[in-house]
Amino acid sequence: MQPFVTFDISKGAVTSRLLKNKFFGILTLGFYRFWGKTHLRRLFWQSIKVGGERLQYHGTAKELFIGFLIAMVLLTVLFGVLGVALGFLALSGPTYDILGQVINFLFLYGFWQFARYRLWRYRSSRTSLRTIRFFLKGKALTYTGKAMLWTVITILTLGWAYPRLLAVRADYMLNNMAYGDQGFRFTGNATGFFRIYWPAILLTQCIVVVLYVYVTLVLGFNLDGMMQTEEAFAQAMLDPVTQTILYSGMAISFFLFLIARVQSFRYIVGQTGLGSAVFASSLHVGRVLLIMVLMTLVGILGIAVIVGLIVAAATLEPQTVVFMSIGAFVLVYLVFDILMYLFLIVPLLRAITSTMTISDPEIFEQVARTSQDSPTYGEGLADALDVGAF
Amino acid sequence: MLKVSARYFDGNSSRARPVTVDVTDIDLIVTDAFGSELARWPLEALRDETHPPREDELNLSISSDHEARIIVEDVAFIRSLVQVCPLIRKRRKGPPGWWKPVVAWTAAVVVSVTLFFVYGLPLLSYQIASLVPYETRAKIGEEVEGAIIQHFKSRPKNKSDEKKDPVCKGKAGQQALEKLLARFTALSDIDMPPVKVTVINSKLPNAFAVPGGRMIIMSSLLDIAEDPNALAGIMAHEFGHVEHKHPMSLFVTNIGITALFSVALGDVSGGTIIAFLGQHAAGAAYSRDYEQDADNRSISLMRELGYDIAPLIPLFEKLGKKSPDMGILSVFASHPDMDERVKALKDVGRTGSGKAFTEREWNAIRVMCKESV
Repeated sequence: MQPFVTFDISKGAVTSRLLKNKFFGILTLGFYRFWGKTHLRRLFWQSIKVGGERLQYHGTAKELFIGFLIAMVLLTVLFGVLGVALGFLALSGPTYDILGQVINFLFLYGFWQFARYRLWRYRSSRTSLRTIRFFLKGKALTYTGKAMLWTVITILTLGWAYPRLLAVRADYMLNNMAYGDQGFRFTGNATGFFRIYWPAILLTQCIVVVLYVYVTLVLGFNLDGMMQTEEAFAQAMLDPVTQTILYSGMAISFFLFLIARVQSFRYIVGQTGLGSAVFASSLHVGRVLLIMVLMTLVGILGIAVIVGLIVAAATLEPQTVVFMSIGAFVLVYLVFDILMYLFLIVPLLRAITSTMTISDPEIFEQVARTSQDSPTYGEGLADALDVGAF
Repeated sequence: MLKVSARYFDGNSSRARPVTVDVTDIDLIVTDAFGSELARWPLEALRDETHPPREDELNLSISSDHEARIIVEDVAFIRSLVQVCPLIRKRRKGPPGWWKPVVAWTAAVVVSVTLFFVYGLPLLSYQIASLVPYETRAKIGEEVEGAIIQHFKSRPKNKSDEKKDPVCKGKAGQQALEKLLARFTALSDIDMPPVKVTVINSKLPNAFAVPGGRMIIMSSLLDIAEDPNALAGIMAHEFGHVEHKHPMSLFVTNIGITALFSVALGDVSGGTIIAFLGQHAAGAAYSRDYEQDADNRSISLMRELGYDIAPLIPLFEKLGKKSPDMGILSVFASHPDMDERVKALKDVGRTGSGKAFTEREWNAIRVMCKESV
């Protein structure tokens, strides 16, 4: 097994591109985003070398824009009707409110899955390596159906079907993925994901049980009805022990799921092959955690500076306060995205790419072009729903 | 220019062929390892596909529909090639007619959004407003009214006013107002519970309808209305709003507009501003339509009861002077232009000869807010 991906990007180039995107974004009331996104993707794609050659992004802003327009036509009707109908449901009382929220969630979740698959299809077909394109076969609707079904089962089984959901999604997506005339294949299964996720699922459930037992038996609250539960929890949250259980439980659960997430990434990569070659990843949880801790520290520092500026401004004249507040807002708006890219996305991509290995790097030179259908227009639904980081 | 080594991709396979590239006056010549010529690309058609460009790498293409590429990594060669091919880092023009789908789909968006705003949303919001049970509307109305009363409570003119309840309690006046509203209700085709009216002590001359069959009148309006029928006209107008559930429809409409704008302008940059302005402009447009409906209804109610609506004209004129013309900002105005409303009333002429309140009732109404001082 040998490394085959490198990621080398200039932080200056990322920063200046993001600043330009924000600037023109404000000037054009947000419509620059299609152009901005395309420029940013070109930069990121060509910064990744696979087997010594750069990836190339072929998408255009025009495609994204038309995709957005098509999505607008569809969504105007669908979402308008749904939004108003849900507004009505929410007004008609608590029972309908819950029902409305469930419908809303399912509808949005379904759309989100659908958009995600379309987004992957678009991006694959607009990506080339050594002049040969990637593509994604399959039907977005089938994917959505499978994902929705197993999400509902996951909810009904209180999380125990989650590994199966992950397996179903990876299976459909990767087995439909191809590079030129070579197909990717995924040989993983639900059992593999289950081995990774069971501690996280079990411990999270234990924490919920401990919390429930403590609130009902020790504090003596009545958790029968919906309303009582809500009120009792608001009351119980005043108790320091409840707070300790809840917050430490959330921290433990977050940590366990992070470990599982990294392990499942390694598992997916390890179960994926292209032609005669197989992949592997040695991405380490510690490295991901370090990046996240650094990002959190940078974020806290940034917030501290801004709060400091506002506090300092508050001691000045009223006009200065307004001026400084607007300044702080612009600062947050401009800086936060740049920090996210420089301290989270770029380091994560670097960590992921540098730990990726392949059994036979020659495979990339043995691929021929196919004439596969590719989507004409961009990821409209994905844009409207804001799916995907860049 | 020197011959340098490069990698050539023919566009049909992923295999790179080691080649040498050489530049003549008009062409770039690609030669393979055995010395035979593989390709000859005109310099003026060459483009670099690396965006943003790099000094140490060229990714050359020959046309937008040909996938073949030449990768050159020799810095000196790149520098001199960029000089002889000024267009190398320019983008190619799109194919003829590339703009057609953009125009077509933009038109489709404009049409569907317009249809939705003009026909879909008003229809839908009225039906949904009607579906909302009376109890829910009444609850919302109570909360809105409570908030308004609270608002007037929190702004005392001087310290002694601080704890004063802004709601006017004059009993005889209240009864007179309710009696008129009962007459309006009796004329309505819609089966509706009695309309509740609250008079609030305020220097702003205004009146408005609240969800759940409620209406609020500001005391200043009682002071500047010189004729009982002027007040009755205003009440008939607000009754029109209540009768057609306008406040609730507007509430539902705003939910719909917000949903639409938040989809259209997905991300935060700049879009937030246009979303905010758009929502206000769209909301105000619906509101102006409702005002028109309510004006028409007030005229028909007054006519049916045989009260003359003409005394409303001087009151409108007074109110018009108090609110300055908004000019270009009138797209954000929630009410039609006052001059037009006055003109419409003048066109109607006399609608009757009766008075909506007796002398006694009218006096009781005018002192409603003074009794509690």
